[in-house]
Amino acid sequence: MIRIHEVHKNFGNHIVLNGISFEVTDNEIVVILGPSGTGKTVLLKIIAGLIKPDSGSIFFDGKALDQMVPDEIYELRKQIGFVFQGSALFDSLTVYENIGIAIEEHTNWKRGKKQERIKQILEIIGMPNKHRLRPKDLSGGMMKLVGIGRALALDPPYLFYDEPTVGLDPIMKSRITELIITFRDRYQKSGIVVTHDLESAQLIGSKLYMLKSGKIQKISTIAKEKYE
Amino acid sequence: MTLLSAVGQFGLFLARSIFIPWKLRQTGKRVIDQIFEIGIGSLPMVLFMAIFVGLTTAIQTSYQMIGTVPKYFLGIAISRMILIEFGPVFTAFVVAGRSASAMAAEIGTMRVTEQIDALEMMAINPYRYLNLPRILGTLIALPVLVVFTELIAIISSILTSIYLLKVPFTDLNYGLIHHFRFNDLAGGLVKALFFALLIATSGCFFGFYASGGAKGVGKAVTRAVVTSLILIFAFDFINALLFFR
Ligand SMILES: Nc1ncnc2c1ncn2[C@@H]1O[C@H](COP(=O)(O)OP(=O)(O)OP(=O)(O)O)[C@@H](O)[C@H]1O
Ligand SMILES: [Mg+2]
Repeated sequence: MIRIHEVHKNFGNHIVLNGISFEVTDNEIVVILGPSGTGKTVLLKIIAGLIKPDSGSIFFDGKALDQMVPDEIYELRKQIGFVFQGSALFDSLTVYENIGIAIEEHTNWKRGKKQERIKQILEIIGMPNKHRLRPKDLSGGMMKLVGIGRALALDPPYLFYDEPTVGLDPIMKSRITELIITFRDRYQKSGIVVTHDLESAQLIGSKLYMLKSGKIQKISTIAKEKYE
Repeated sequence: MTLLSAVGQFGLFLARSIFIPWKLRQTGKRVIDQIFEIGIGSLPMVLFMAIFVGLTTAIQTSYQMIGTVPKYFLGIAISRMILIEFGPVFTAFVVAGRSASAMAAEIGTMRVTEQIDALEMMAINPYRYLNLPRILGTLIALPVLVVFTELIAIISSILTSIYLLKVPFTDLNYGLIHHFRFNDLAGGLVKALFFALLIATSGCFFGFYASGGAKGVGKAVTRAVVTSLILIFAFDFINALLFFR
């Protein structure tokens, strides 16, 4: 379970997050909606420990992120798969190596087992024949898929998605939405999705929040319609 | 930013990149890649530079000495100058221009496209994954390149002396061989190790802290090259002051 408590963040005198609190219980996906530039990425990175908040705390299963020693943070990060807004694939590595990098780093698996796992992931994301390509040879949607595959490598219990469906065609959009739902239902992943795609948000999220002017607000169905 | 805090940050960055578990099983391959990238990649430019350094050194030295000292002094002066100064310094310049820039560009691009965040999220220490192999690779490649430069430059100046300046080979050889001091060579190589640290740390440092898209990466590259050149000059001066006075 993840608990976010009173998180504040400014850049200079630009207040981005002004007291954000919410919870993500196990096997639940929380969706945070919000227009461009409201601080969705900043919030997600704060929760993942990539950016330090000015004040406030994040708790993973009751343990505060800011109390953790570096080793504990590294251990925690193996529990989180992070799908970046711009995919952030390693452009010097192939699709196969991108997906395998964390496995290579953190496991002592035999070669066969590594290959099997990577192949399994390629199947899950539906790109079994593209493993030799490099990121520059992929479309935006395929990059997103590989980003998702890479986040899955160590089979983490938490998945964070930063705008997983934005800027994609409707087919790719529904493909990724379905993947996220599959991970939630079949593999019991909990997580956070930030997006401004309301349609997929409603399919994915058990709770929906709206982030606006530094504040977060739970949204009901009526409010959802208003957002539309 | 005051000079002192800049030096502190730089030193801290270097320490964080080196004083970590090396995990040679994963890092080894990346170090070897870097040795090839820096070493083999710089060879053509270094070869070109070394030939001309040899040529010019021979001509200039003989011009300054003509008629004042015995001819075998030419051999001494050439080898000393090349081993102590020109070999390490010029090679470091070439590597700073080629590799510090490449490092800043690569790492900077990774920073602005969130690839470094991605490494962090996968619990892969970016200092170890990105900086350590570049620093170790430069530490190994630069001294080797320096020896190569020195060899080529000395050969080139011998040939220049014999065929252009008509200095008898026996005179030249006497100067070169009898006055060869191992300490000159070793001193130059130790210097090269420090230059390697300065070059690789600059390249990695400015790339690592790049921000603001393509423009930011461009800035990082410029800063990396300029800083490593300044540091090479400064270190070389301090070294001369301490050991050659
Ligand atoms: N390092 C930084 N320095 C200064 N300001 C920043 C920094 N990072 C983010 N901001 C500012 O914080 C605000 C929120 O940025 P963020 O990237 O979180 O927006 P977002 O909601 O993810 O937008 P989008 O939907 O376009 O991705 C923006 O106004 C941005 O300019
Ligand atoms: Mg964003």
